[in-house]
Amino acid sequence: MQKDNLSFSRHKKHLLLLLAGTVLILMTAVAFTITALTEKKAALMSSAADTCREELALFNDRLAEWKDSTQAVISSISQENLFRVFITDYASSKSGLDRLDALKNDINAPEYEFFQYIQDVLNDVARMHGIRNAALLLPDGRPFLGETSGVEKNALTGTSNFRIFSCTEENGNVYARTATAVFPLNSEEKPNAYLILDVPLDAGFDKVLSSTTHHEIQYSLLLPAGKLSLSGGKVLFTPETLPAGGFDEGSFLEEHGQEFCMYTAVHDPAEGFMRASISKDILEGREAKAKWDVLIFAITVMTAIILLALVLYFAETAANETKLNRRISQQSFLLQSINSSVENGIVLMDRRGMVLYKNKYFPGEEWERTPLDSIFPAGAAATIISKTGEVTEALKPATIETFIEENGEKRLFRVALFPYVPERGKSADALSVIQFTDITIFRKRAIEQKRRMENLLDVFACAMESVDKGFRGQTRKMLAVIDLIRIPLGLSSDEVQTLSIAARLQGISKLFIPHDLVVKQGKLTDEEKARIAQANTIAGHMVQNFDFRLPVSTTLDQSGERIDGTGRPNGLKGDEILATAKILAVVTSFCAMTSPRAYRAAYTASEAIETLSSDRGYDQTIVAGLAHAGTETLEKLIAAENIERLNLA
Amino acid sequence: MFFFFLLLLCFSPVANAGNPAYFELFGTISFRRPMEVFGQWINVQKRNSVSRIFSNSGIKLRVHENTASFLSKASKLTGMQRLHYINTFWNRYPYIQDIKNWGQNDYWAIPSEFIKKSGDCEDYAIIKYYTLLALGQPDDTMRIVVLKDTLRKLAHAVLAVKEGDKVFILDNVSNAIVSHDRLLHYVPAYSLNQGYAFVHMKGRKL
Repeated sequence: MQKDNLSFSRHKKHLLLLLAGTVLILMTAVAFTITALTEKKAALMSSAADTCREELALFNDRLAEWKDSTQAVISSISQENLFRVFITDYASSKSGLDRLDALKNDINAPEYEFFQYIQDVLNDVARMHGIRNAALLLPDGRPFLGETSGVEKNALTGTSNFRIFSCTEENGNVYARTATAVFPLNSEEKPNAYLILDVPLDAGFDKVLSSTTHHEIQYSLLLPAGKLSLSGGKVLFTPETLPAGGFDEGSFLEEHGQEFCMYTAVHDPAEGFMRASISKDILEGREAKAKWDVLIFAITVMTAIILLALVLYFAETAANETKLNRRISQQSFLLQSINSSVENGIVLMDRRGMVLYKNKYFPGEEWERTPLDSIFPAGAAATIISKTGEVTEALKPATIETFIEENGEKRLFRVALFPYVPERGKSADALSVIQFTDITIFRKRAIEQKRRMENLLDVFACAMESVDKGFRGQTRKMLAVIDLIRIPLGLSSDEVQTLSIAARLQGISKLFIPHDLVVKQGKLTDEEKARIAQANTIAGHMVQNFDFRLPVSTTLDQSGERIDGTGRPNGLKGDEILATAKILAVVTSFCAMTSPRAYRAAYTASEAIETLSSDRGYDQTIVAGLAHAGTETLEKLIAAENIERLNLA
Repeated sequence: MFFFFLLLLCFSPVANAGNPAYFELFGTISFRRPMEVFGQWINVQKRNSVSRIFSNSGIKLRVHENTASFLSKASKLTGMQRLHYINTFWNRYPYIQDIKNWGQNDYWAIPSEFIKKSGDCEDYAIIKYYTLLALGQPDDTMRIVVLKDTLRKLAHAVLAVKEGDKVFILDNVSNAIVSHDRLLHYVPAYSLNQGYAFVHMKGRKL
């Protein structure tokens, strides 16, 4: 059993460990999930910022590349000697400008032809590059060659690369209006004209504004004149003013309306900013998706953990069950072996009186799950069930005796009840183990033995009474009186038994006294008294040698004692004297008084009781118990015994 | 496109001094080369010899204009005026690349082809050349000049015509007629007329 308990507790310990482990892992998983969900947004923003930063760098590269190729085209025009010579001739001096003004108004002038040719060539080369409008302006903004309008004087600054100073739109196509310095032939310090070209922002520029990898990012170039962006794959120009302080350059995303933006300044081709932006919707979509991914992952992991835990649980339970089953079958085998060798009936009953088990002592049909009272006689069953309730309540074994009819024969069983509570505190599951022992034969033998002993004692009594005629019938009378006071005094069966034996052996010492002393009339001499005392001693030893398992010897020894302490042989008083000895003293005295003696007549019952009541040497409770039997009953008894004695005589 | 390696093939200087057909172009030195080297030009002359538009007066050139009326108007003009008229007249034809017209990178169209399909730079030069020839302009005062346009970065062809003591350039890019020495963006490779073929090299006269 110890081993079983250990095994079960180990199993419980394993399951608890498993549960604790599972809960711990699940809690960790939940914590990780929450952390991952929290960090996901920041990570996404950081990732988007990284992408924007990289894309801005690429944007810058693409813009620089576009600028370089555009610069190559523009330079081929602005640095062409054909134009530079013409410009040097007419724009470098006041007289030249005057001649140009005159020329423009005189188509017949010889130089007009060249002026026209220059214009045609400029237009042709512009047309060849898709440039919509080409013109030369003097640094002060006055037209020099070709026509253009709306060019502010402050656009005509700088001496190096071209600058975009505004944009125009025609037939849905956007043109960047560029200004490039044109220098005289002999110097590149001070431009004497500016080449104004409307450069198309078509196939070349739409690639500048789009990424090949990150299509979710929107690009725009924010110039002082307005914004260049892509719309439906086409370059779109939106006139708008740059904020006074420009934009904050940074490597983190800024929130602007429905977008997150990042800016970086461009100093070429024009003062402005590049902007990479990503829509909030896209980021929110990504966030939602990322969260779902995390959640699905977490749920998958948790489900896997739970499934694993369940598998381990079932495996552990199954292993333990197998172990327990093996142990149960071993123990069951052991119990059956024991049961089959036990000659007693054993029944296992629950507290509702249902038989759960019986051993083979009880032959016949199975009793399992049968009420006890349908098996045993109602009275016996009720007694057992009632006693079982007490036993399981008190958790103490008990024994009762009951008659059970077996094969038409009434047999006496000792029924031993043992409480069995599987687990402490759960008395609802309490069971009782009931052991039936057939004690019919033992009891019969015991009764027979008792009878034999009583017969033997009767023989002693008879022998003793035959020695002294005066005592004839004395024993029977005493036994009758004892029987009479048994109930009023509430004597136990052991006390009655002790008294009945003691009554029989009371006069035994007479057997050891010489007959002449027994029948002697008159006073005894000292020598005679000593002989009688010796006889008493011998009788006492003899009684002691009988093993009655009852205080017979003590009762006889103390029957001469008086409760006032004046008795013999030890002068005991009160409760020092055995109860049976006190009773015997009263009964002996009563029977002696009510018997006639050679030297006096017999007392009547009431006389005897009166005498006893007035004597403080006797226990008055006992005397009262005797009196309770009633004078009439006692008189009848005395009369019957006295007649018997006379007859015997 | 023109093949500039022809320049190398043709490189064999010929004495020019005193040659009536010689005139300076774009500040270069000219070397005369055998005509056989310029097969495409020979081919044009051959094809044109069997399909002359200006010997037939009734060929329609455009609305209200046929060869007869055109030549009649032109013949009434002289000098620069005639050159302007002819230059402007043919420049009205649209510029169409050979690849689009003929499916070839370079195709020299004769006038009868040009009036039907128009053409690109050398085709303008060719028809202007034959127009002036039909009007009696001496052959050795004209050159079809194949050159490099440093501005537009492409090969180009113009007609150079000596008027008086100056050489003027009839260019399809402009109706204006400018003296060759003003056009700094042109680098001639070779020049042709019926009688002569020259290659040109940048350099200084010794």
